[in-house]
Amino acid sequence: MVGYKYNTEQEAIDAVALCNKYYGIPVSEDSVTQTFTDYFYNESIGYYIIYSEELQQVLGNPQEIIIILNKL
Amino acid sequence: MGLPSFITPIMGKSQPLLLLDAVTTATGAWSLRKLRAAYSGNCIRVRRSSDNTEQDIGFVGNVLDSSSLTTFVGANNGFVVTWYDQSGVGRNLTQTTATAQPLIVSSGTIVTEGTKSAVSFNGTAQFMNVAATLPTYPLLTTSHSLHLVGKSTLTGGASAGFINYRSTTPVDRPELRYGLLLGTTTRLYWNAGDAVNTLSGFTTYSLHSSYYTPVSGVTVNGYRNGSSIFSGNRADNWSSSLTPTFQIGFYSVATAYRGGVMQEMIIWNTDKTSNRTTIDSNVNSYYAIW
Repeated sequence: MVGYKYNTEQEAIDAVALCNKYYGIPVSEDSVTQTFTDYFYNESIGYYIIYSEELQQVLGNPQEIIIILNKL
Repeated sequence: MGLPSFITPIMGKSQPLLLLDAVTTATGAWSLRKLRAAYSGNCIRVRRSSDNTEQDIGFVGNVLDSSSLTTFVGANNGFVVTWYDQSGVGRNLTQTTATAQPLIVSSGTIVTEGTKSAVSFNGTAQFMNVAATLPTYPLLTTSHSLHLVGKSTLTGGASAGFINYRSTTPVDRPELRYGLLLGTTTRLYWNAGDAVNTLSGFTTYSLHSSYYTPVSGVTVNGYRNGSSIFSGNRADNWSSSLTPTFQIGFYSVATAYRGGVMQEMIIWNTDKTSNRTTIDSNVNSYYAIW
């Protein structure tokens, strides 16, 4: 997949916060949408954010990420 | 010849009963049409891409209020934040992360499948969760019926179904996955570790349904567009103490997605086999699938 990879959880949290600030999320008190993007953790690659077009202007160019799945 | 069972004469005219008025006691019901006359809530809550504000969208004439939807979204994209549960139990489908919300309006045009509005999951990032916990193992240790109007796509991780219901542990766990990719076809995947039952053809826009009764013989029956295409058993060896997740478009156990479109999904916490033809007729009279 394409996305953004981070060395620590804090880096991923900071990246999410940056996106929320840029897009003004949450918009209001009654907004169900609480964050613009979110991060995941996988043993094979660590912390990452899945790419979407709107993230590029905040987080820059994404990279190819290969995740090894070990469970069905 | 009498009227079909889902038609009832009202004030001299034949009016179709709403599906959940004809087949009652659903334990979760999500649709872009109104399913129950007594349901007074909205259909979906939508976020528009232009400024990320949200608005509830209701029904007009028992279908999604498309005029309000397109007026709100304008020429932008619209994403489903909440898909309200019409069963009365309050099990809304939700997604609080913007980039994970499925699409309902693309550049000002409502997404459709067949001739009706649809919610689209891209298979790379979009999914929805059931907000409230389903009752104690409704699908897997008690009788149940489930139907999906829509289809899955080949986009996504190989282990993910379009609908995923299972617990992470133990390995020999109960599970139900609709639209799992196996080889080159998408299938119903039932109870790994015991039996893999296959109801293939999930990439075809259809009414996909299954009915299950945990009696001796433990049988699940699968249908597509009203025709039986699957019948199978499973071993009866699971615990009711697990806490499964129920997700559309995402399989959290493997962090894998599955694309698809969905117009309606209903779960009954009983075996509705005796109502199957009523359900099939109601669905097809509205969606005109087959």
